[in-house]
Amino acid sequence: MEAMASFNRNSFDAGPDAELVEKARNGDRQAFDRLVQIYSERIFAMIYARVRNAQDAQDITQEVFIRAYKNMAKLHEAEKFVPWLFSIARNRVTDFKRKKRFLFFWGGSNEVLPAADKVDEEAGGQTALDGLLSREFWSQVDVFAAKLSTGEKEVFFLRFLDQLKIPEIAQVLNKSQSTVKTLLYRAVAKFESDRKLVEYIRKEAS
Amino acid sequence: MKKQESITNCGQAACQQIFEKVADQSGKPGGHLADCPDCAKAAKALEADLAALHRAALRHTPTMPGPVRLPVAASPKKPFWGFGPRPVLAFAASLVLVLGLAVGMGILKTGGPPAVENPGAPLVAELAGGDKNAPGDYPFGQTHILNEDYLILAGEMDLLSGDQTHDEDNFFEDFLDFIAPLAGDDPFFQGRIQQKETSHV
Repeated sequence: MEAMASFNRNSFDAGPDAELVEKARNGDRQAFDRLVQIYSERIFAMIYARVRNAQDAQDITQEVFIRAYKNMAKLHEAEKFVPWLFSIARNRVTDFKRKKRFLFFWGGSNEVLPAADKVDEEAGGQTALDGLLSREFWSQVDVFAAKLSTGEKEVFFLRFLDQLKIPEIAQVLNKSQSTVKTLLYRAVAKFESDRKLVEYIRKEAS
Repeated sequence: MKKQESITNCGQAACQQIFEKVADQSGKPGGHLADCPDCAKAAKALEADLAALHRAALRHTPTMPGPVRLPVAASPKKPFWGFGPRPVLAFAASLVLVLGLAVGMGILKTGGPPAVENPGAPLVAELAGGDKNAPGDYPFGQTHILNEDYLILAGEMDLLSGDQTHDEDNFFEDFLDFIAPLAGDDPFFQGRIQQKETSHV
């Protein structure tokens, strides 16, 4: 499948082809379909890291691209496509969590997100062992994330899980680059001092 | 910004530069990092840990359950007056339905059965001639004389064929014979009937 082929599981692609974005902005449906192929897995991964349920992440990804498609004409600079897409995704995730909290509060749902034990073990053809390992990994990440402030967590995730550059993060969060850097340095320092997580990751990598 | 705890043993305030280098991923180490192999090594190790974190996150992210499906390409927006055939048809169907219901429920009166043209009027006028006592727009002809049921009952019309059985030449005589029992004391018809009888005599 072309969409899967364009998604590198070890790292994310570089920026989008500005020409492709420009065509999509001018209403070229095929160009937009190509952008969906390139970015859908990356946006899905970004959302999954925050909601921890494959089906919910899929639904939100779908919503993100529909919104992007409808508002493509509002994107004034083609080179800002990636941060623009991520900001839509971030807003959708925030809305999703707000709805979940509302449902939980009013008794309509038993789930509270994010939670490490809500890792979707059934998704993606994972075996039971894979599911356990994934649960363990996201649990470690959550323990570390709990030590960060909301801002630190956002910039850390966008920088090191979603692989955005500092100027892009500043655009996604609508903050100055210096603010993003300050938050990021603090978050990196906390990561470095979290020996348990670092050792876990080194062990997993080996 | 508060001073960070050092992660190297070189004794300088190098950790901030390490974090900056790792966070910015600027490539070339500058300042203290360029001179201190210990700090440069620490920065490299931290970079490797963060890269491993990214790889692990991807590894523990399932593949998308299905492809992203976009809506069918939107048609260009029409001005508000540019109604398409669908709303017009829907409106017409609704109107027909509402009118049908209104008529069916007796809310809307249709005015009863259509008015029947008075076929007897020319005949009455001919019979009246110049008689000023004639009843004029007398409804007798309309309600009784030319109604087919009466003609059939009176044997003036064949029920099956619909043909009139009377003799066309003696139409007025036949008509007066037929009307005599029904005319009662009406002076107009009585006069005509007497006239007919005297003419026969």
